[in-house]
Amino acid sequence: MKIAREDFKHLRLPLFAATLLIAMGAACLVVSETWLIDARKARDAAKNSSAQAQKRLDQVSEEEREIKENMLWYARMASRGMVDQENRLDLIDSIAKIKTARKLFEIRYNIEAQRPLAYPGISPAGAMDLVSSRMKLDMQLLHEEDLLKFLSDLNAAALSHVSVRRCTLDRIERGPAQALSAVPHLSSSCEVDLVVVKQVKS
Amino acid sequence: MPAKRLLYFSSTQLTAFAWNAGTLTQDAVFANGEEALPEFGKYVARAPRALYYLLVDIVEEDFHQELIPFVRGGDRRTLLDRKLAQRYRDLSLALTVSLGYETGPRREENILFTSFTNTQQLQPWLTMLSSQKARVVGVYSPPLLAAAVGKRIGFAQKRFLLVSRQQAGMRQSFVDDGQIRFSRLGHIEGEDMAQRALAVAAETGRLQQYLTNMRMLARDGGALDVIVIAPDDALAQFKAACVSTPQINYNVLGIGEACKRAGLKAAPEDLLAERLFLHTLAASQPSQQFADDGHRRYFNLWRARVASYATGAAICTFCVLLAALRLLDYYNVQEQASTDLQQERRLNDQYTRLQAQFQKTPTSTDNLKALVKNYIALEKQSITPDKMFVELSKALAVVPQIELERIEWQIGAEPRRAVDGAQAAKAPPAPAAPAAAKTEEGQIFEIVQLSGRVNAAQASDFRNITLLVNQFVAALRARPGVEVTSTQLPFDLTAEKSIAGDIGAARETEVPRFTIVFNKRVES
Repeated sequence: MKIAREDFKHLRLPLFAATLLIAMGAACLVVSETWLIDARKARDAAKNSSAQAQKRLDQVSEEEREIKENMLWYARMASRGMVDQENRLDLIDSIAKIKTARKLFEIRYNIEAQRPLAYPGISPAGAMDLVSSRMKLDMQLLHEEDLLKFLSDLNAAALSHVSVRRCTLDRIERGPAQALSAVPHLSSSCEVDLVVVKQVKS
Repeated sequence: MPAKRLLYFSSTQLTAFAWNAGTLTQDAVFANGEEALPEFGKYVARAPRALYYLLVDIVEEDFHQELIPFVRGGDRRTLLDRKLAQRYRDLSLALTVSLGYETGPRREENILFTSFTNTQQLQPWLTMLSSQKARVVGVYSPPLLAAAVGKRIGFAQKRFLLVSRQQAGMRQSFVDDGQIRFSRLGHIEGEDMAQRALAVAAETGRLQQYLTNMRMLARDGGALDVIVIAPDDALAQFKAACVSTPQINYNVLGIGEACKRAGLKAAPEDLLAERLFLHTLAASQPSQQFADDGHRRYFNLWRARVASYATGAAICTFCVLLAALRLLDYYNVQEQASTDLQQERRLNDQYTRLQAQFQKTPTSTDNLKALVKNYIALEKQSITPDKMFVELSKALAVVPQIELERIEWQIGAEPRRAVDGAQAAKAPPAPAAPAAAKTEEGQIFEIVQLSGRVNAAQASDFRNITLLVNQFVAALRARPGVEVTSTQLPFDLTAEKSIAGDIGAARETEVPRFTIVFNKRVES
């Protein structure tokens, strides 16, 4: 079957109609395919969510046990005074009391501003996290045990968690006459972190 | 489906019929001449959308068989056109029929060339049809329809001779292997039906002889089947006259019976066998016909329009069906998603109910978990120097000549290897492998740098000083977990440096000093 070139003008309408019909069919196909793809994605997401919810429900007893265990740890933090807001007046009073009780020589301290705790293995926890105030201590000691007892007493005061980071002990040279007298024989310089729990602003 | 108009053209007239579902109705009769053309034009104009079939039953018809070389495609078309042009003047009404290939190495093709030898009488009618933009399906002749007629009346043989009587005369059409090979139109002489039947039998015998002589029939090919379409009222005479012989096997059939077998429901009573051909033409519409594309221009246009609409509609329907299937899938998938979401809600509600029974926490469970994890890590790193002082005291007890002047203690992740800014001699090799030769991830160490002096030795007594310091280092190393990383003596014994001293002089006030760096891993 041959169609003369001049006759093609008579086929414009049928060809246009055919093209329109094909385009409509293709459009239907594309739209339905798109809907189907979207629906499949939504179904997969819903299936995953459902599976996760099921898994979480299966692990609810484990989660409860974990919460109980974590709350024990939290109670331990509370018992060490970490949960309460840092009270520097109490801290200073406590240092003074220890000095008096232990009959220590001069104690000089410098407490820095509070900041997030940055130790190895510690990462941001969220709304409630550990923060620390670094305290530099310079003390005159009769014996190195004075330093150890001071640190032990500070920890026992339960005002915060005391984490000793650095200590330097230097011998103070005395003549033979003062070797046995009650004068400082050691000077110490320590850096101690006072760690508490704090609501961190996001 | 558009109406079908059948135009039966004989040498004397053109008869127009309408055909509808096996019923043939005569519309008009036009005398074969110029004067009838305007009336014919008006007839055609009344049914512009009808399909027109022209059945030409005239004596001026030619059949010629020829072998052509084995060629294909355009070359074959060109060769056939050239052969047709050599044989016929008017190529617009010429036809070639392939009759198969010769067996042999050359594989020549046997072609039947056929046309009307006088097309002048047809052209005015075709021109009128064209001027009225009539959809001419094709121009046919009874021989072209003979094979289809045989099939429709239930004759199964592939080779037969069809003898029929139309208004134009007696037509004999020889069909072999389903294709027309030869046909002739003649008159039957005779005053009554008995004589005419005898004449038909005689003509059939002569034609059988002719076909054999022309080698269209093999001499030992068996009896030739002959179908004789006889008038119903003379069926007995024809059966009596047409007696089968070893060469001819007659099948005499009444025209009424033949039409019934072919499916013709009704036709004008005065029609002869042409009604059978007209009905076969309308019902079968054979592909072989004479008209070229010029005569079929408006039919082809109509077909192209229909094909365009049909193609568009078919593809559209197919796409819509596929889209419907996808929509069905879409609703099924949505149903599944809805079920999953409902299940998730139910599980979440269940979880929330159970969670409400949990111990109250000061913050979210995840935050609490992370906080506790951080606190555990903090506790592991929270140690005081008292244990290290114990280790030092035990080492000093081994070497009482050593007196410490400075202790630097710190917690860190990297065990110090050498004293910063000082030229350090490597510590003597340890008896056991160092505990922290290679630090592990997350390991915490107590790192201590000691500065001390050796009281019992003279400053220039290098050997004794070295010995005492080494004893002290060995005592440190003996403590569990302690690794000495560097030792700095008050002098450098390497050959690259100079060294000076006094031997035998009295003890001077200068005291030899040393530095040792060691670490201990904090147990987690």
